[in-house]
Amino acid sequence: MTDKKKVIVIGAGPNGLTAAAYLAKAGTEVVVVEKNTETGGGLVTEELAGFKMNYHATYMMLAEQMPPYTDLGLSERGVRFIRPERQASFLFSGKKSFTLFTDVKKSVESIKKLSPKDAAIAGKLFEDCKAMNDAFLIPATYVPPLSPIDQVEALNTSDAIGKRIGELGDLSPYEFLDSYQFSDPRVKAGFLYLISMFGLDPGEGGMAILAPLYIERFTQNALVQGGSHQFSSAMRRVIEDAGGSIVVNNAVTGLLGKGDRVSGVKLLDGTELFADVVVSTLTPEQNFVQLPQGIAIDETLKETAQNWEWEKWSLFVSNTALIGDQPLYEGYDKEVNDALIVVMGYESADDVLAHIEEVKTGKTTRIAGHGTITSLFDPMLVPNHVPHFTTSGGYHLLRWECFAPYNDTWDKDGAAYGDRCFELWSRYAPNIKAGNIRARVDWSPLDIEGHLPTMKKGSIKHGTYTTLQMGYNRPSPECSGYRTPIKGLYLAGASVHPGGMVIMGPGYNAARVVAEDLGASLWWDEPVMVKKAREKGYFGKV
Amino acid sequence: MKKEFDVVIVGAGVNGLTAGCYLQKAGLNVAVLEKRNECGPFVLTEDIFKAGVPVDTHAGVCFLPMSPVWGDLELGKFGLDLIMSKVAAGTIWKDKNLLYYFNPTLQYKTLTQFSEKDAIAYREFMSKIAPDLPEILQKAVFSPPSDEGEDFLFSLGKYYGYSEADLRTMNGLEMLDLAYENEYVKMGFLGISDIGLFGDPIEKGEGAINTVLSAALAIGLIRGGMHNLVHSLVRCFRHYKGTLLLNAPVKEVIWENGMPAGALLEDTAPYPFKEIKAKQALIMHTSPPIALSMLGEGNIEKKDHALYRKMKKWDMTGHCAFTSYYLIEGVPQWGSRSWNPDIQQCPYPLRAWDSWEHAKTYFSNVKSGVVFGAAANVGEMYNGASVDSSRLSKEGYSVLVFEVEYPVDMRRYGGIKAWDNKELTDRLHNDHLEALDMLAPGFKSKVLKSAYFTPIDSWRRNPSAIYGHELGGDASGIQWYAGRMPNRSAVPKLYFSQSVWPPALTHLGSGYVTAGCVAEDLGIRNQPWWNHKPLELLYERIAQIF
Repeated sequence: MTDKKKVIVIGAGPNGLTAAAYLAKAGTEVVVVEKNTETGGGLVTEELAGFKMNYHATYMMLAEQMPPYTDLGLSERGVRFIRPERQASFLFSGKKSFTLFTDVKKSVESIKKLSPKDAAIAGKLFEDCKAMNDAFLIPATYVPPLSPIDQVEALNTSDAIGKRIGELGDLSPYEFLDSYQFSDPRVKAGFLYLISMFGLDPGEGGMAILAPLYIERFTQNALVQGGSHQFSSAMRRVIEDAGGSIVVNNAVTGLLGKGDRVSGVKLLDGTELFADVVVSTLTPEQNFVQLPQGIAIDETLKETAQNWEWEKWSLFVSNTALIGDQPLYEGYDKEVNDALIVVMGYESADDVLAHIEEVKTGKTTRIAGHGTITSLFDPMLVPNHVPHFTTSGGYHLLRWECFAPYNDTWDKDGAAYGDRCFELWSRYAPNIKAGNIRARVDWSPLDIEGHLPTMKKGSIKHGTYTTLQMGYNRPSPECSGYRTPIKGLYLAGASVHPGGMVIMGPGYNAARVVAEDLGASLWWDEPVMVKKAREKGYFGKV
Repeated sequence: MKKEFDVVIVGAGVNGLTAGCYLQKAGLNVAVLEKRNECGPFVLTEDIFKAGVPVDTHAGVCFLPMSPVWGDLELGKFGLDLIMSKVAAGTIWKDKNLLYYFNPTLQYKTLTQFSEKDAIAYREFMSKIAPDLPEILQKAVFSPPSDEGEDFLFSLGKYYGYSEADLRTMNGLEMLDLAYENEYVKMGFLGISDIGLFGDPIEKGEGAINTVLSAALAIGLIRGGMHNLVHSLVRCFRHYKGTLLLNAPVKEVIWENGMPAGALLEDTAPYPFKEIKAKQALIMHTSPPIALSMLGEGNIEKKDHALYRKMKKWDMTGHCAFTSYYLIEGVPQWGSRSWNPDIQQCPYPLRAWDSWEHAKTYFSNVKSGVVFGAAANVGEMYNGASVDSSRLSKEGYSVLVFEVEYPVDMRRYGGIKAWDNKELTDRLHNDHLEALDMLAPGFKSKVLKSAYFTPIDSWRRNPSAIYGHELGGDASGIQWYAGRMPNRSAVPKLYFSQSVWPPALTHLGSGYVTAGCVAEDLGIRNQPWWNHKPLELLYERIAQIF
């Protein structure tokens, strides 16, 4: 018999795996329970006809900066990030474009061709964003949230950067962007797209806090070599090597317990597992309404969970295996051919806003979005051992992604919509032909929900980002510190601070809280960036 | 992380993993290296249509019930749930069907509907062979080829009343022709014998042996999808602390002192180290042309000239699968259910010609490259939702998979390149749909989405499956039995688990046999758990169920 503390982690998505890996290495006995056959949640890579398709998560905005990457030794286990130099190109009518690079100087040069004035503004914007991100926004991802009053107080009494960040709490992302006064609507469109492409509502008051993060980090995006799933496979190995186990194909159907204490979980196949601690990565609704059995849940908590706001729009993703040449954007500056993401279909910031408003009402009339030829940066994603029989080119993997409403008609309409997206792409890159498509898999918002039920209504971040649902309020003040009013139940999913987007913050922060409560070993060090931010006083007086 | 192991296995196909499980469980330290992002390239379950609707994109049924691996590795403990339908398989025609039951009484009854004489003949044959099947399988399938083994194979004719000399001159069709009178019975058994792949039905000797051995085929369905077999193997392997590297393509085999000493990963592999050392054995679980290039032609030529010649001349052409997938509303309603309604519970219906004459000409037609219309003659269907409710989506959709073997070199239509000719492949795909609509009236109107993979798609997915070949190369003629790759080579420390005997299927025999060779050579074969007999668990299960 073992006297190890027992931990059940619900959900083998990025956060569940992160929490499980830290806790397994901390000497607890960890069991992860996963509904799907595969672990990884949104880190799903399927190989169709030899093309490795990331059905969901693809762009890693924090990549090596995520503490688990170093702490868990993921590089030894085969996780390598690829960060293309050319990050995002924006295509406009009249063969006009601009490109954002990992190197800001090059971005500025590119924007200069459209508007010299805006080039200087963009330079300043990037500089500001990076300063705020490095100092506070990224470190804050890996510490529990402070109450809004304490946080504002801490920022306001820190330094100039802190004060600047504090001011963002009053603005919407659009207002933040607007304050830079870009003169060319196309340049503004580009930055607005970066902010909103993964569902951050540009008009949401108080959410400007995330704008610097998205603007700067979405120009430092990385792919996981060999497919996103390699990331979760590596974490899974860490857990197993530390003695943890993973149960797949078995959903949790109940949280067992009595009074204010959780004692375990009930599984789909009838099994009951008991533990000292249950760490859930599920949604507030599942945690506090649907699953508890015999546990008393406070009415206000139930109400919060029932009133949880899902995101106002979702994503449509199409992965296409193509035989032939890579898409070439005819007539455009050549640099766009090698960009990680290529945004098509917008001419102004107003276009982007109009698209978002349209999608919010459930319409799919406008086609615009971005394409990524993932195989350009990672040749491992396409077969290299089979000759291609077409006259030129080779194999390419195309990924299309765009705003999409959550409708219940996607099963019927998805294919035609996917055709329209491909058709738009081929208008910009006329050398790609539908006849060269070897396989295409569309993931509509309905598929996102179907595969990943925590992403209800296609909510890729497990719930919309508003001041009422972020930071200290995510999912509610009494639960945002990863502990809950139910003893033994902890939260570690994207519905807790800092939210979704494969940044591992919830899982990482939850692991620390659980380890502390269990008296388990805190075998890892706080990242240097967090220590620095703490010294600056951004997280209050120690 | 460790970089030195007792055994390194190149390739995480199900049989490579099986070898890994046995050797790791027997106490060795094993590393399995896989080029792909996942294991089991021919045992996949993918959501190609929509989330929550699993599609087995290649192997659709599981032969583990006939295998000792099921019990030895305790795969049930590692999450494998095998469903045994009372109707394992069935052959369907437009208006009648022939089902294959585990229960001999039901089998006899169903055969009498075609011919009482044939039903009696079959019952006599089965009553003679059934008690010997575990031993037959152990010697004929789950052992490396040997001279004695070959004699044993040719002695199997006795169950049909033939001498060894008779058997050497007969093929599978002739054998069935003499054994049965009813052409549906003949077609049915020919269809069944064609899936075991223990020999080509129209080749003399091996075709007849294949027909006898097909009596031992036992089929199950894996709940939730075939890929769960891979998961259970990986879980077993990891349980015993095996090391599995994904996205780890091998550039070449490392040689030291004239022996393989490990594998060097490609420069692109996302690992900070590239050398994986193998102290005791290296198992190549990849097809001979790939294995040869990794091993280095010069090295093999020098050490074992006969092996070099065999690998150099290895034939990777032959029959390859073109598979169509249909997402449909509900489940198929077979037109032949009026004949025997149990067909609706059959996860694995076969389409096997319309007349015995057809059957005979089919094989020569395919050999000479006639492909259109083939689907109307023969095909394998996977209808998992018929017995596994987890294959039905919440909307009530299911998937039917229709797989037809074609010659990879479609020389009448432009050769191998023809497989990337969408117009042509669309036509073949449409042929499949027409055949299905004939067998299940109204099928067409139920189709919500469809897709297909060609043999070249299989090759793109599975680097070892050159031209999409399922078995690591043709398994007949000079590449049959002892003509296959050696499980244990003459080069010290070098073993093969693909393109060996038995041909790689989900009974996991190739991995089992090779693991046995390695274990014997290292003196660790004698494990208390390594002693299950073929069919042993099945017989226990049958006793429980029926």
